[in-house]
Amino acid sequence: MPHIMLIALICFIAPVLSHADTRYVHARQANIHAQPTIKSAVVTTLPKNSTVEVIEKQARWFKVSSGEFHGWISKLFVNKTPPLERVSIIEASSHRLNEHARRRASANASSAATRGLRNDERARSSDNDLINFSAVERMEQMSVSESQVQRFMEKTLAD
Amino acid sequence: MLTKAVNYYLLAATVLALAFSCGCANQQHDPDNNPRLRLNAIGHDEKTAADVKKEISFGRNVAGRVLSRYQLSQNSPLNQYINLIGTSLTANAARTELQFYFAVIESNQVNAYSAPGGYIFITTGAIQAANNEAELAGILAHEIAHVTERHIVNALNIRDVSEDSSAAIGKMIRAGGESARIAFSQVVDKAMAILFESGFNQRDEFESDRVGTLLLAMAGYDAQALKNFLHRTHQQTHTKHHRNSTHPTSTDRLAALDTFIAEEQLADLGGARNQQRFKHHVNQ
Repeated sequence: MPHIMLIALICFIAPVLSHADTRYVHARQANIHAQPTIKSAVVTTLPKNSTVEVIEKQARWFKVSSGEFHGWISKLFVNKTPPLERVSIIEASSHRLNEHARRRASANASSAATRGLRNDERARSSDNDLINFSAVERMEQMSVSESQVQRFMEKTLAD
Repeated sequence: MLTKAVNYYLLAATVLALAFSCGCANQQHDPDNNPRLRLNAIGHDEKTAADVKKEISFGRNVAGRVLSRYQLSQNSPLNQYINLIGTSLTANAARTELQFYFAVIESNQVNAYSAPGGYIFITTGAIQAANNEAELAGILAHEIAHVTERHIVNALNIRDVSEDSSAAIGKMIRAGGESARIAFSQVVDKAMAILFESGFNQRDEFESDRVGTLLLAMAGYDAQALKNFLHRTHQQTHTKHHRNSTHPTSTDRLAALDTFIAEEQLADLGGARNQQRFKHHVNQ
């Protein structure tokens, strides 16, 4: 009997003692501040995927330790799970996108029929629901490079 | 006798340990997951790469609908300027798995929109209504926050459904074929209704104001720029007409931002406004 209870005690206590509230940096980099405000001194800057141990929680800030450093980090920057790599779905060719758009228009027309719309209403619904994927592609092609952003930010701060 | 005493001590210790571990579990879950605390807390749900792919795919469809309503501006330098401001703001956003895209759309309305997956739109009217680059950044930061905090994604339960039977889209898509496409189209309709008719709920608007203001400050902009823009357009609403239907002007919103800026001590950070660069790009 004592052995069983001792094992039970260890089973309950072990997870509690070993529990550490670890968070991962999800932003490209995150500052640890001396106080829970951006205004306070920066203790250190951690890169993405760094881990911090949470010591204390406030509404928008965690008091954390990371190696030799201690301070406050905004909850905006961290999460309980490691950050994901960049996710993209933009691999489809224009042909596939156009095909997708045609299928979508067909689906919208069927949807209108399902809702019991008259022909004129159906046509209007279909027009309203058109998806302009070619404009989305143009939008996606307008993105800027890391180096352009870096130069832009340097000028922002220099103003 | 001694064995009995040891048993009692072990029993008492076990009960105490159980109670303690339960207490820890509650403490672990409450602060971040209690919806009541969410208003004042900023946190992020855990998502898989498959969830993010679904979000981007869905957002791309919503973006396509937005761009069928409004013409994409052909002003390439202005589009590039907006992309530079927006991308510099996302450097501090905790969703590095997303590529954000920014575009100017032709409309005299003072408005901006965001679709899940990182598609952000700002009207020419909103650009003209801004006084400086920091205010423009404030509008974009607010929209970025709607994406980083997954407001539409959470409202419509957009996620990968391969191993989950509860997601709204999943139930429909499993029906397969034409009905699946109709169902998908109807969920996109709901997202469009949020963007153009009902608007985000107050909780989401407050959260986007707070996160947006933090993004502004962290990028080195005047942290009061979003508040200043809202304050000015709020005054115009009272003297002219409703600014738009999806962002109802609200003294509550401005008051909440005032409180947040004071609590976070952001008022006197002295960030950049970049009026000259703004004038150069917007007036050319």
